[in-house]
Amino acid sequence: VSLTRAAIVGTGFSDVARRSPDHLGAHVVQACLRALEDCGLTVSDIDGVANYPNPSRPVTTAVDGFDVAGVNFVARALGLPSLRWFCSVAQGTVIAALVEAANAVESGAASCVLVWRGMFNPPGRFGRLAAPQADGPNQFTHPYGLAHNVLVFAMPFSRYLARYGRRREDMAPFIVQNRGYVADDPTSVFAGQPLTEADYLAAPIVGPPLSLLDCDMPVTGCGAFVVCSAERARDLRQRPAYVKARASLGLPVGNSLIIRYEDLAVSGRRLAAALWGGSGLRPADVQQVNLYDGFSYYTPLWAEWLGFCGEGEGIDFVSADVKTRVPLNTSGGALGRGRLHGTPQLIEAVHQLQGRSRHQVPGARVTLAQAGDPSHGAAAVILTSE
Amino acid sequence: VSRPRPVPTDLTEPFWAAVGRGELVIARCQTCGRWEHPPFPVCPQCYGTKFAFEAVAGTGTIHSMTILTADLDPRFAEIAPLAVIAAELDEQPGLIVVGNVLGADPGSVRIGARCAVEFERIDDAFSLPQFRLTEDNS
Repeated sequence: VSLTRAAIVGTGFSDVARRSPDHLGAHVVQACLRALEDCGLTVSDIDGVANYPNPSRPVTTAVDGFDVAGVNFVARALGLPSLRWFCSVAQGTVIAALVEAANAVESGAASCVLVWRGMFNPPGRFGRLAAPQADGPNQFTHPYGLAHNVLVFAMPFSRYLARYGRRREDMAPFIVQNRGYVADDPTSVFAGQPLTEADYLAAPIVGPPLSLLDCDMPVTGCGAFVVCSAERARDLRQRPAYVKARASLGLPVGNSLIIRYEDLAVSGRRLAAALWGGSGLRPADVQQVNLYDGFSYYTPLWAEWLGFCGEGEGIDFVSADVKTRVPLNTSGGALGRGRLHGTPQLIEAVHQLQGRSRHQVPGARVTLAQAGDPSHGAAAVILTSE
Repeated sequence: VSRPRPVPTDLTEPFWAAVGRGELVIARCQTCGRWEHPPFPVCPQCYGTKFAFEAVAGTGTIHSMTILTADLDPRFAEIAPLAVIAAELDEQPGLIVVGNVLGADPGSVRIGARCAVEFERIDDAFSLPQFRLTEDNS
């Protein structure tokens, strides 16, 4: 590995809870300090910060440190005396922020970058809408009840199932296997709560074809990362996860009132082309994969778009026996750990290369982490242990 | 508490004025003829910037759908459950208009079914373009 290559050297989760007595900012600081502790660096080593600060729920006035915890908050809270670079990405999740951190390290703009994503779930019904009026583009959708995010995201899944002749029931083995990864994990909000296929088939339907078990449960928590150069990484506590390839894309295609499945597929495949192009790698070279699961169906769709299976085969692929395909979302993802926007995917991709996963893939040398959906920004990285 | 009312803007006022007359109109590029909904400032096919609202036939095929329940959105408590559909209009592939399906059990509505626009009077002040399943469904 070139000495200038960017590497993830430290990772940390805050405590994660469905309802937490502590504020979002407390979780963000806890995750950042744990990521620093993980690699043996201190706040004075950090000279760059990168974040995806988008509020994790609809808010009219976002209070820094409470509703959001972006670069302003972390600079204030941690002090960061050596800071010389920052970036806030508007789209693409924590992995897009990580891509910018890698760009900064490899260009020399910063040498040690802290990256995080915090999510806040205060009391109250998540995502409930009450406005009496429908403004802007909503005037063509909200009067019909197409307003709640679950319904908005049910539309492309309904199209996918009809287009490829699949049923929601075909997802059951994947949902069960995924929850199984956290059944014995005390750090998961679903510890000790395994599922059966009958549980999935009987789950309350929120907006067909999506059930409650297809939605990641809102939580309060944060995942954090430290990125520095391969040269700097040599002296640190953990084995580095080198950023072999990266892509930050997933911009919307077309002007439509709904999320059209066909537009998603075009945008998702563009991200895949940007990721694999020039990497010298193919899907078969990856020993463990972490795909976005904010809604369950994004995992099979991303498996298709990234080339791990053929078009229309995504649900069969993710529902297949793990012994027959590449291990997937082995830390439980967001369906198994709560709505943490890609941080479970990215931390697991690093842990697998470090030999620290609870569901370790023996000899994993190449892993992939992806987060986001192709209508709101998405990003992916391929990480290597050498 | 009831279904949210659309708030027309300068860009969309002709659409709602037409709905009031019982007519479905969609913004159309006056250079190349491409339809855009919702209104968009530049034609993504020819980069033209001159649009005008023109009448469409109001017929199409159900592209995607879900069902709204009262539990999810209490504003619709009196009328839920409602089938929420994206109708792909016959004028152009991918040209989507959102609506509910009138006169059908939401559970019986299927993607791929044919539908036609029908105007539903909500109150004295406004109407909504809606859809009804049509007979050419076999």
